[in-house]
Amino acid sequence: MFDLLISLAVFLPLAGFIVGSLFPERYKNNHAPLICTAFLGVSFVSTFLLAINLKFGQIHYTQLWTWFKIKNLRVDWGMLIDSLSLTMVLLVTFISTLVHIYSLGYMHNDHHKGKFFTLLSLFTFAMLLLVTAPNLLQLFVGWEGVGLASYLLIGFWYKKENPPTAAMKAFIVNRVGDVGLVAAIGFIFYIFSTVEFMPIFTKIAVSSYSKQTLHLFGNMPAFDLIGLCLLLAAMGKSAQFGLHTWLPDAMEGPTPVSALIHAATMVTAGIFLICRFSNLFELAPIAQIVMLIVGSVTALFAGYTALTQNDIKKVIAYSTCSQLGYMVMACAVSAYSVAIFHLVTHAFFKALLFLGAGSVIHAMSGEQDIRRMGGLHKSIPFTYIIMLIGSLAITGIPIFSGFFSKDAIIESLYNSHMPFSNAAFAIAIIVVILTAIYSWRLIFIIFHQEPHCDEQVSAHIHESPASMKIPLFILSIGAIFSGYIGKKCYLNEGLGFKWGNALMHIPLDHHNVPLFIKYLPLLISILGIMIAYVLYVTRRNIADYVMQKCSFLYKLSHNKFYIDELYDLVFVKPVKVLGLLLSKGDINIIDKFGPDGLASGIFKVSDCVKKTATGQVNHMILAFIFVLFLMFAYILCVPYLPIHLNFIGG
Amino acid sequence: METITLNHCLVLNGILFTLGLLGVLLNRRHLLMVLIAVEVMLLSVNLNLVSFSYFLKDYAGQVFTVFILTVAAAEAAIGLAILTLYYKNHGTINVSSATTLKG
Repeated sequence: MFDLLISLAVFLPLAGFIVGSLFPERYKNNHAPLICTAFLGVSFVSTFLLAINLKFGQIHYTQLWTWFKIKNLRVDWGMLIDSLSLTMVLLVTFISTLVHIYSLGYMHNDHHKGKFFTLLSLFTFAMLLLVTAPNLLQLFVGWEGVGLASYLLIGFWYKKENPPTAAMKAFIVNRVGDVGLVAAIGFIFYIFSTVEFMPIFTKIAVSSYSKQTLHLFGNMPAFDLIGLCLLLAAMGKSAQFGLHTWLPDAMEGPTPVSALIHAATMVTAGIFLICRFSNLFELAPIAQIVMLIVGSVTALFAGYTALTQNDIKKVIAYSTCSQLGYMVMACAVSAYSVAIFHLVTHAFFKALLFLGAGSVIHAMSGEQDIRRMGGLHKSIPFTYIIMLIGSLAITGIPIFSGFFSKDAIIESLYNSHMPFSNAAFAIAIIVVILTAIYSWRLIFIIFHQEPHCDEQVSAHIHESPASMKIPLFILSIGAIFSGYIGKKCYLNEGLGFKWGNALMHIPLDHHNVPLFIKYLPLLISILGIMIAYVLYVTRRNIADYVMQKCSFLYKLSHNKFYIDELYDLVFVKPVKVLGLLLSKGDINIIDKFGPDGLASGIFKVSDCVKKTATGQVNHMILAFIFVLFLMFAYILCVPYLPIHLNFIGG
Repeated sequence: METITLNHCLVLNGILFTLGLLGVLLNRRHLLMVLIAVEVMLLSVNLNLVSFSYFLKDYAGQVFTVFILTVAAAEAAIGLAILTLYYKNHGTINVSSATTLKG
């Protein structure tokens, strides 16, 4: 029963991809979208049934078949369902179904929408494979599958200039993180001599394993090294500082893809990986400290950069980056359940914000620059309310979901006794105000300032079709209530939910937190909203004044700390020069004497041979007689030749 | 007066055959000439057969020659047919102009 349900949940998206792809090009656009959406809907329903029937806290393992067997290493395909993976499967199928439905409206006029839907399904399948993996290798397959599908989807509009480059960038930057994952798999296999999760988790607790060291740039505790490698992998997928550059560029893809990447299927993979190995990170203090630093830097950097971006999707992209920083910080201070909680609420309000942004872009006939929007709250009221709910949620206003999860993160940072946790707490508070300002800057500029768009666009502003409104409506309910319900489930283990052994769950200690700290994030958020209101609605000259006075800080933020330029200079340019150099060598040496030389040599020889074929009958007969003469001569000479030249016997 | 021996016959046949061969090889003008030269070569070979059959007293050789002559007649007919067709298509029967097989 459970086996069937989970198999349906995981493999129906794959079936959607295959069936959709098999349609000939003519029918694909008509049939593939509906088929993929329906399959994914069924996938969500079966996950839902599974979640109702399965007792949380237990582990359910479905083994499908053996992948390969080398001596005592056996790797199976299978599905491991515990509270963590079930949460992820529910989230992924739910968000993905809504994104599919939304895309029915958003991609209505696209010429390749059939292909788009099949790729969306592939993306979802890869993520499901990742989160249900019972061993590291299946996780790796899902991990790479997600990377591939994201590459295809970001570069979906491949005829435009930017998307292919952005897709390439996402793919290559993710490969850097993959190095970490591959190394981690290698180290884990070396230490535990298995890649299955269950044996690994039981062995982690045994002290003989945790005391081991590995020799790499000097002796290091094995768990720290594995932890750092896993962290590098998570940094790549979850776009942490240093490997974050692909995430804002991924905005070149269609908006539903952005929503899917940011909410459910890609960036959450890194957080999931860290939480999967929560037991290991607990025994790896160095990795935890590095994680805390990475998370804090990411949150602060991305929040600051989001302040000055002008592309509506880029602002939301950097906000994702910043929220992911929060999650990593929570993981670093051992509040894994809080990180997953924030992941879930974030998935709801970020999908809402992105799909809402898609609705805005749809209304503005494809315009993405917020400087050319304005005054939209009257013309598209539904989208306005949606964006308002999303922004309230991300800012952390009570009732809305972000309030619960963000507060939990800040409280656990406050409670932590790790080194640097005080600094991390301060950064978290600063990021709260940054979040409020950049989120509400969007709202105020897009909806409240006077219109900046030209006549043609403003005449064409229209509310989105129902297929886009319904997912938005459902998501907005999620964005409001997921916080309250999630807090009961994930933090207090109420409503029948239990973490079990899925991850390291430490209940929050509320009594330790002073009332002032409890209300500080809320106060700061409201302050941030007020600042945004003043800067972008009432006293707009102040914003310009600040921009001019602190032009260095402004430029730093606007140009994303020049990290793209730095990478271009340090990595891209030298590689290009090297490639050019090597290609010269290839053309002038290998090609010249290898394939090309051989080919032209054969031409020369055949030109010589060709001259003998004059086509004259006389010449042919002469040749014939000459050969005949030679044969007779040979036969006559045979008795006088050495034995090894006798080819005719006798 | 010396009697005619096998050797005399063989020398004559050899000369005839060589003449035919040279006719085929050296003739550059008429395709008809080539045909005639080929015929000469064939006849010299036939003469060879007849000579051997006469001197070795084995008459199978002469019977064989009769058969070869009929086949040669058929062959000549085919050759002439090709020749007329060639003339129809190309307007000439010049040997050196037939260079379609040139590489």
